[in-house]
Order: sequence, then C-alpha cells, then structure tokens
Amino acid sequence: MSGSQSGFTYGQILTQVRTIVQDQATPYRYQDAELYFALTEAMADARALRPDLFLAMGLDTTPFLVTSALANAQFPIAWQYVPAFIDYVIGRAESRDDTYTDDSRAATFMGRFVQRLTGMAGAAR
Amino acid sequence: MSGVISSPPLFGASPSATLQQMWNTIRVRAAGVTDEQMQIEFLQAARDFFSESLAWQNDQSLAIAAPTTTVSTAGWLAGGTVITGAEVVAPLDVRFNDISLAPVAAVSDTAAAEVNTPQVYTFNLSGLITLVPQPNSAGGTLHIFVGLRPTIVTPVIPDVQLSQWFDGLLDGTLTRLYEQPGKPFSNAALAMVHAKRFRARISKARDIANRGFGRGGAPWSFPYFANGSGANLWGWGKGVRSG
Repeated sequence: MSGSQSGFTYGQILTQVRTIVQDQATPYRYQDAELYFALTEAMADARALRPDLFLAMGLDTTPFLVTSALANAQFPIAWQYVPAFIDYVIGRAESRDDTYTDDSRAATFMGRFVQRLTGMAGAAR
Repeated sequence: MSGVISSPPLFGASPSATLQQMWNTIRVRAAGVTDEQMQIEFLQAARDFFSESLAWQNDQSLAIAAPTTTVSTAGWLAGGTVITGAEVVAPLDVRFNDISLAPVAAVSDTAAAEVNTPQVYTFNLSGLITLVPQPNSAGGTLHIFVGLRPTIVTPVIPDVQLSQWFDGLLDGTLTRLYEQPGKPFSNAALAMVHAKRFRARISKARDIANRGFGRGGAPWSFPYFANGSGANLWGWGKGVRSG
C-alpha cells in the first residue's frame, strides 16, 4: 500500500457503518442512498478541513457525488483517515429525527470526525 | 475530482531505499500526514535547500563551434549527461578552452554580434547560457559548472545527495509540515526549532560546498583592530576576509 491507497472500498466503509448502527438486516433503517449521500457530505467537509487528503484525486473544484456505482471502487483517502469518514456517516445517520436516533451520540461522532482530521477536539469550525 | 485516485506520487511509486527512509522518518515525525502532502513539502524544502546552499553540483564539458552561441541547460544539459528532474540554479563557473568567463547581466546587440573568443556569458531564467563574443570557427571546449535543484514537475534527487544532506532536508520538510495550521501534526514551537536547524544546515552545506567538499581551510578575517575599518564602542568590527 502506498500513497493514498486506503485498502478499503466505499462499500466496505458503509458495511462498517451498518455494523456500528446495527442496521445489517433488510429492510434497512437507513437506505444505501442516504448513507452514500452522507459520505458525499463527509468528503465535502473533509475537503474544507483537509484539502491535502484530496491531492491524489486532484484538487480541482469539481464536486462529485458518492453513489452505489462507487461501491467497489477503492476509497481514495489515506488509510489512517478511514475511521473519520465512518464516524461522519454514523453521526449523520444518528442526527436524523426518528425514534432510533440519539442526538448526543450524533454529536460525539461528528466531533470525532473533526478531531481525527485536525487533531482538535470540538465541533466543526 | 471523481472519487478515485488519479494522480501518481510526486516522487514515483517505487522510491529508493534512502528515499523510503526519508518518507518513513517524516511519517513518524508528522503523524497524520498524507504521502502526497509530505512529498510536496519535501520537494519545496529540497528546492530551498539546494537553491541557497548550491551544494548539489555538476559539471559538463561540450565542444562548441561557430555558429553556436547559446547553450541550454534545461534538463540539465544537452550534449552531456542529461540529468532529468533537475534544473540549474546558477552557473558557478563557465570556462571556454580553460579560460574562465565572467558572468554579465546583459550585453549590447553590437557585442552580441561580435565573433571572437568568448570573454563573458549571460545566464537567463530559462537556463540559457549565451557566450559573448560568439565563438569563431575554430571553436573550443566549453566547461560549465553549475548548482542544481530538483524541478517542480517530475523531480529527482539522486541518492548520493539525499544521503549527504538527509538531516537538512528532513528539517526543512518538518518545518513546512509543522507550520501548517489545523492539522494533527501542526506544531508552531517545533516548526521554529526545525526552521532554525534547517537554516543552520543550509549554511553548513554551503560552507562545505565552497570548500569543494574537502577539508580546506576556512576563509579567515583580520580582527577589527587590524583591518583599518574601525570598530564601534562595543568592540564589534567588520572583518576583512582573506584567503
């Protein structure tokens, strides 16, 4: 493994998210499209906080949407930052307004995303 | 940006053992740094180091005859051993038939058109050395001695340079990484420490290069009371260098 190879696919990241939020049995509480969109948001927030993570993809400003079409593609962010993106998607899922979610848990995961990327505790700046 | 990796690493996917050692040292010292960012900052530090110290040196000889008046040093030099991934910072010595030519900023059109044995040369930012007057039909051998640095695109640093100046290049890279805000490896205090070391190592490298990488004696100065320049009330004076 060299450069920004993460060793994970986009699909594996969402599988891990489903494991942590205990949503592995169909019908899912969180649809694939929702989680992929949360991953898109994670990429957007990460692009603002750590543009250097995107050097291997090219730093142009063209946005892209993470969809199920990328499920088997390699996640392009360095291996050590994969947990941050898992945290973000969980935080997004937990922030949905329904009976299964937990606001404090959502805040914890979102804060951890920022902390993992910047080394700073606290909410998104 | 399409969600997949599209750019190869700046220094290639198969680094030498020495370069791999540099990467591993940086990865440990700046936890959380990405390989791409590390290599960009390393390149900038290396360009800074070699531009200021002129410690990466190379020389080339080539036959010159009329009507040739210009020599391109791009990439590094056609006609000799081409060093890809390096560019000339500045010529350190240019000789024509073993006669050292003087560097000049510019020459008049009249002087540039003259044909005779070259006496001076100009060097521009495109890496072009122009001999003035133009060499006559007898021609001669041009010997060019230059300071090099890695290019911005597809750079290369030979292992011998990397090994010799490893600590200085490491200090420069760490300075540039630590001084970045909002990163897990941001550390303003350590950035200052490494910046100081980096500047010191550049000075040391420049000094070693000036001695021809040997153990020759350093230039020395007359003390202030002996050089006639006078000193201030605190005893500090301007020495006059000799040797």
